Amino acid sequence: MKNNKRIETEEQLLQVLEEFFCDVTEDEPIENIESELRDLGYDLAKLEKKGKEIVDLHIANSPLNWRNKAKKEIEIAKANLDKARIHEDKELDRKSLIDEIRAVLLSLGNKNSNFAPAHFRNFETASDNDLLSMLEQLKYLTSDQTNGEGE
Amino acid sequence: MSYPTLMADRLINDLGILDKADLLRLEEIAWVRGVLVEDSELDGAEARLVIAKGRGVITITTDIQDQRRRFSIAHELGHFEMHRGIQELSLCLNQDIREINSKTYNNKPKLELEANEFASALLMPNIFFAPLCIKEEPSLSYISELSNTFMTSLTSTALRYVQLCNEPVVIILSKNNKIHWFQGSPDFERLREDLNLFIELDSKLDSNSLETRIFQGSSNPIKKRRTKASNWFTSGDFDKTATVSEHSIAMPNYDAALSLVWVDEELDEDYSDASEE
Repeated sequence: MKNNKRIETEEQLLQVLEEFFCDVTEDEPIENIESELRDLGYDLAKLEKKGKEIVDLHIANSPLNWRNKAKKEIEIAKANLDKARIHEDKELDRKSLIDEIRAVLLSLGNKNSNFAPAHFRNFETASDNDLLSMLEQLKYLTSDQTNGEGE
Repeated sequence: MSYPTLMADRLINDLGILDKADLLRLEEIAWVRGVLVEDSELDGAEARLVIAKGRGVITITTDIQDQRRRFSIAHELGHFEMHRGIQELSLCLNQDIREINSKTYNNKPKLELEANEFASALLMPNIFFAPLCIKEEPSLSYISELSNTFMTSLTSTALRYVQLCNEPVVIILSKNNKIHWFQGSPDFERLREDLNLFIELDSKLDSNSLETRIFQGSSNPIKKRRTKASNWFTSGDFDKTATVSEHSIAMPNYDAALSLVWVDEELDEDYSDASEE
């Protein structure tokens, strides 16, 4: 057994792996790599288990993991959607609601696609309440605050 | 594999979902795909998707059960994933968001059928659900367990189950004591074709059927019995004395009953002739 380093910490494991893979070329057969690790005195099954544990732990705790960041971002997004709410004192009749929605859709059509307004066809049949919430959501979506980041 | 199932599987793969517990984070899944879910009163629809600038908001009406809510979110997410180039607004009515994708309902718009199939494949993905469908004998009790695990309705779970199970089983919904729709497993459909089994829609169930007895009240939610195959199959080249296993449960909210019929014995006339000789 040569150079059998005892791995106690994650840092040691990563260091050993880094050193090891610096010497391995991409086309090196996996059997050779396994054989070399065995020659160095490592138990491959244990090494794999330990490596997986470390990777899983870091993924689970990573702030970049969607499981960790989504909840917070959703809270912020909901607050941003609330900002797009139309105040009750601003009375909008049905015609004004439809005109405003059309205006937003038209702006989308101009910027992104000439067909966008067509996709919202028949929205006029919705109730006043549904039109109002639709307008609020469109305003939120067309604002720059849809990514769940605070101001 | 169908396009909606492929898209649902791709989403599961993209998000690195390896544990079915992640499936319970449906709002978070929607969010990382670019869609915010909001619960709000809706007058004209059960669920709505509004898309602009490549992001979306799903609105789910407030008076809805948890499992139905999850299916509706997944349905709208399906529209977002698959149809956002085609339609930027989707107002989905109760009848659009159906767990059944049977040929019986092929008059529904194609996009709605695709969204339903996506929802089913997302909430009960192949990777987790398929192995469970071959683990135990078919039964409604087992399907009920699966529906609790995946937080899906009994009907949607049963329908997904028959898609993936390797036994000849058929799920039948009876309403007002008449067969409303049915969906068979691939093995059942092969058998149906081989033996010309005919299940007559809208046919009145016989007075001794489990549905009839279920509607008359029962303390045990799931009833199981052996019954003549001819109670379900109106005609076909099968031995008329053959029996099948039948499990039924009442769905009082819909004035309906859900049955699982498992062909666990040979139905073939030739087979019974041969065994008699």
